Amino acid sequence: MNSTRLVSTAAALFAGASLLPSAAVASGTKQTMITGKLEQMCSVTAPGDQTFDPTKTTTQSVGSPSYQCNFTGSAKLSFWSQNSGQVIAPASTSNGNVPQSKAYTFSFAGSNIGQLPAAANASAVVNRAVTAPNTPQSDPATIQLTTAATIAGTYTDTIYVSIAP
Amino acid sequence: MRTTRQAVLALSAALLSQPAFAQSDASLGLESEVEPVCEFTTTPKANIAIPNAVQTNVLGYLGYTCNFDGSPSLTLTLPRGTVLHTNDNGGVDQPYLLRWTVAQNGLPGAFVSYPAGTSVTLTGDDYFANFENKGVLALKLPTLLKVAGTYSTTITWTVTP
Repeated sequence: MNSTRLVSTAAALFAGASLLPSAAVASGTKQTMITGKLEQMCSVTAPGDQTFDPTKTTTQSVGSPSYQCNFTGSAKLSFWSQNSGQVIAPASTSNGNVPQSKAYTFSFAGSNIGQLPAAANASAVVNRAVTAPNTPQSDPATIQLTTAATIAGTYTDTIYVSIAP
Repeated sequence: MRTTRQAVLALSAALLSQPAFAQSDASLGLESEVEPVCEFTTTPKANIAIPNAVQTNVLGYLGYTCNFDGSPSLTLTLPRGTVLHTNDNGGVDQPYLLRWTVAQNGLPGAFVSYPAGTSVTLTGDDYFANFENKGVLALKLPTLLKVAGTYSTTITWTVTP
């Protein structure tokens, strides 16, 4: 007579199941984003003092301002004049103590800007292309007297230039 | 009568084959394992802006903790290498130097640089379980930014048991 052994059957049932979890690896990842910014900037260098002939009404060179920006794009150059676009000889014995002034038109990079204003906030603006970052560029500046000076004296003016992106 | 005898015999056989309930002993083994785990327990901010200056920028503390004694594996991922990049003005790369003061094999605590496509795997310090290994993470620009733009880089750290 055969009998079934309960113990062996029970052992077989339990032995078939695994109670051990499979080995797992838990890791961590973190990211940090770093940012830095450099704003657009330009600088301009005016040519030194220039001389001109006050007796001529032809176009005369007054040097070439040099400028550069740290980006590629467009820059605005602004011009204004201490004497509102006039060269002035102060009163002296040579001119009978009467100041003499002669108006002129100003051109930059081939663009005729006309008579320059006196105030920076009313300056004449010229847009120029910046072809490469941190690379100096320059353009010619000229003046043309409206009428020639005929009375002796030292005729002067100061032209200011600024630049912005 | 043959049928009846056969039926009786069959019944007896059936009765004998049914398992009898007997006393027995059995044991059930229990075993479980705690997974090895490492995680970053102290981290810098997710987004940090640095000035355009040749100076050491402290990004914050970076620390990890593992639940076992031993050395984890640390992976530093830098797709562009140690470079800040901007897409402005035609695209410009600005190298930088990185330092993590936790002493690691290959990251000695001094400022270092890495090339593009870097994925450096380091061996972490042999530390005690559940003890945080923490150090200062810092970045330095060796030269100033020269071309305008917004530059960025993403530094990814992974710690694995």
